[in-house]
Amino acid sequence: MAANTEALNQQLQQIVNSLKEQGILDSQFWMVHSLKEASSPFFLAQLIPMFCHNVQTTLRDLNRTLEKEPVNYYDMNELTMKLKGCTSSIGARRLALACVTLWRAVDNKNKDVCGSALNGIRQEYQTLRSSLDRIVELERRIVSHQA
Amino acid sequence: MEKMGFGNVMSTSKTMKIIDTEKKISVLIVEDDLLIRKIHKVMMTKFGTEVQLAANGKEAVDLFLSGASFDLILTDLEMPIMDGIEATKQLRSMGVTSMIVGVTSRNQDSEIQAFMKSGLNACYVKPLNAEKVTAVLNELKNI
Repeated sequence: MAANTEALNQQLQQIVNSLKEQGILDSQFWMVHSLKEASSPFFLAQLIPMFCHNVQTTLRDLNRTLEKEPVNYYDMNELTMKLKGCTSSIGARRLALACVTLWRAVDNKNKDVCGSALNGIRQEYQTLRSSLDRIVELERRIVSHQA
Repeated sequence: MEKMGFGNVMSTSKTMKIIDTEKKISVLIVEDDLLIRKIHKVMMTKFGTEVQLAANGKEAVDLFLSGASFDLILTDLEMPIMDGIEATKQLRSMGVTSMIVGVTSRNQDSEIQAFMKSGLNACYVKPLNAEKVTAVLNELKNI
């Protein structure tokens, strides 16, 4: 059982380290992972779905705001900052950087560039999402082995 | 780390509360995003502090009006109902001398300066990490 848990932890470490090497995640993610000790074993497995829901909801709202005429750049700004905050807080580095790109486009009130930047965020999220699903699966297996 | 330093407060100076180092440091986290609130709560708990949460500036002000007090307030800037700037101004005008630290996604100098002017002791750009928390807690203990 202990060997299985160790093997699962190693798999998790390999995935996260690979994502770090690609710049997709940063050290904040391991810090958030370490918060399990002060919370519950399920902390990360619960947090990641919450994060994904946050991102999807905010992307939907950004899309709707950009499609309306005239574009409400104030709302775009607020939504972008909200997304930047949660992506940086969980350690999703490239996603947070993509939010900065969108913020610049919003600041310049350039609708076309906003659209491209929003597509960039979607792509980054898609890249990250499958890895996050794998991480949640591993986390759940680790917790069930430890129980 | 991005920070507007301790001691560079633009508003009138504030006398800090004397912190009883025998008991746990009490922290109020003021943040509307549930995910970030959860991360910040567990992080501050891990650092051995006692944490209470408020989902916006008004909840924070109401807590103080009800008689609560905290050694440290960590506050977001943009929140519904009452934002971090308004909440900080109100708390200072009520005579609250707790350390108030802003934690925001905004990183433009003008935005940080505006937030600091409301009465913050310091301001950090998200993410809140171990390094920033250590700096804040050390500053609090050194008062």
